[in-house]
Amino acid sequence: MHIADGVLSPSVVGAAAAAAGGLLWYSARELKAEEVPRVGLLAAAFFVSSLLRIPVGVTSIHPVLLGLTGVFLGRRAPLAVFLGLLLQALLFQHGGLTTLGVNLLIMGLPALLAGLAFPRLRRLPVTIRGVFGGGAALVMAVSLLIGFLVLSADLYAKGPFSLANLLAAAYLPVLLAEAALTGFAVRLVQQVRPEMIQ
Amino acid sequence: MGLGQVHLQAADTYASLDSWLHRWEPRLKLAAGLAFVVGVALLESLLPAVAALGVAVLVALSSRLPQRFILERLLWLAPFLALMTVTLALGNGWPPSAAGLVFAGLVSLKALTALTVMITLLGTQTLQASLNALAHLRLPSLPVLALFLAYRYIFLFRDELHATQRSLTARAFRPGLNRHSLRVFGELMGTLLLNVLDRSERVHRAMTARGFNGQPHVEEPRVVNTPDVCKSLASVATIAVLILLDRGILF
Repeated sequence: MHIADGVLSPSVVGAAAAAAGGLLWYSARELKAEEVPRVGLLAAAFFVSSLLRIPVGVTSIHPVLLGLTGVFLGRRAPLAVFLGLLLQALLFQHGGLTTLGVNLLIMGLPALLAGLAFPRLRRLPVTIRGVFGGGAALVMAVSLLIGFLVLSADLYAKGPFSLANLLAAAYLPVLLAEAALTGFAVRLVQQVRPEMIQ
Repeated sequence: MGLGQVHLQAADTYASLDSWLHRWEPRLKLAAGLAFVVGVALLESLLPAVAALGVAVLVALSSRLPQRFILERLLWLAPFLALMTVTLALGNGWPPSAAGLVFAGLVSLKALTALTVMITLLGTQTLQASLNALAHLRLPSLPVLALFLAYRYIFLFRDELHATQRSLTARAFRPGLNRHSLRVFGELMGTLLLNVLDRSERVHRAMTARGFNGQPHVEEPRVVNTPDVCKSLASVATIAVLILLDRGILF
């Protein structure tokens, strides 16, 4: 789900970096010292959970848990996503430095929106809310990913077997896994610690 | 099939070797690297992109990092570059589109160049040095502290998840894209996150008990010397010349 350095056009990278800066500012504003361990440790936990592999046919997929990040961190979700992306770039060089902004928008924005929407779906059963939040966050992220690629060069959307079409198809199993994982995870959280789920 | 999938060596496995890159002050090195990568992203024609990759390869070869280490890390790009090249060439069916192939070539060159530079720069200093360099950039201190904590706890949580996964395997659990397996993984994630939340509460109390005042303590940066400045200036000059060539301003 990461876009590497050198793939997007400079104007898209620049505009995305500016927007991502705004998102990060909103997310880190008035951060209190007592919140720091929660944000840091949850960022580490989400980072680690993306190392999990689920075999699908000849390949494997890994959960991104964007919706769950939003549920656990709310407004601080994009900040945690940013820390995760930065560490991923420093540790594995996955994702790139110039594209940190693009990648933050792709993953941080859906996490934030899922986190804001989750408490407002109170009437639905909690599993359904999780499935919905997890699924919607992933659909948003993949849409943003494809959107940035196509904005940068419309060649990416040319023809029936375009990169845009193939990416959308490739993310279908991830969508399934993401929605289900988020649903089961929030159900467990509600059973173990009901006060956490509003 | 499990967490062991990411068995890359740590980025700073070879940070203790000695080369001109190892001796470069981390802050200036990262700034020069960032300028170079931004410059590479600005290139629009094939020849300067080939030259930039040439420069990156020469720098990588002079770093004394094992070539296998660098190549293994470059492999991360392979799936995306392959998918992109095939779809750009054959998106409209046979025959392959020439414009698509040229564009795919350009993007591949730029992506490989940028990644080679990053692997080389981050491979020739310890990760703690990279984090300290970030901490000395006058960024707000609390997010930097959160970054340090995240780095510290990644390895701990990884080991915890490994242990859980081992016990799942020992109980004949076979992961796959099915209801049972997703439920196990989902509840595993939920449990991990709740434990992490409790742990962060304890970390906060421990920090408060030790008089934490919101200010992370980071080792003082090394003094910048003349070779550091020369190396950074040379990097910026190289990419500047490549951009001028790219835009046809020179020659």
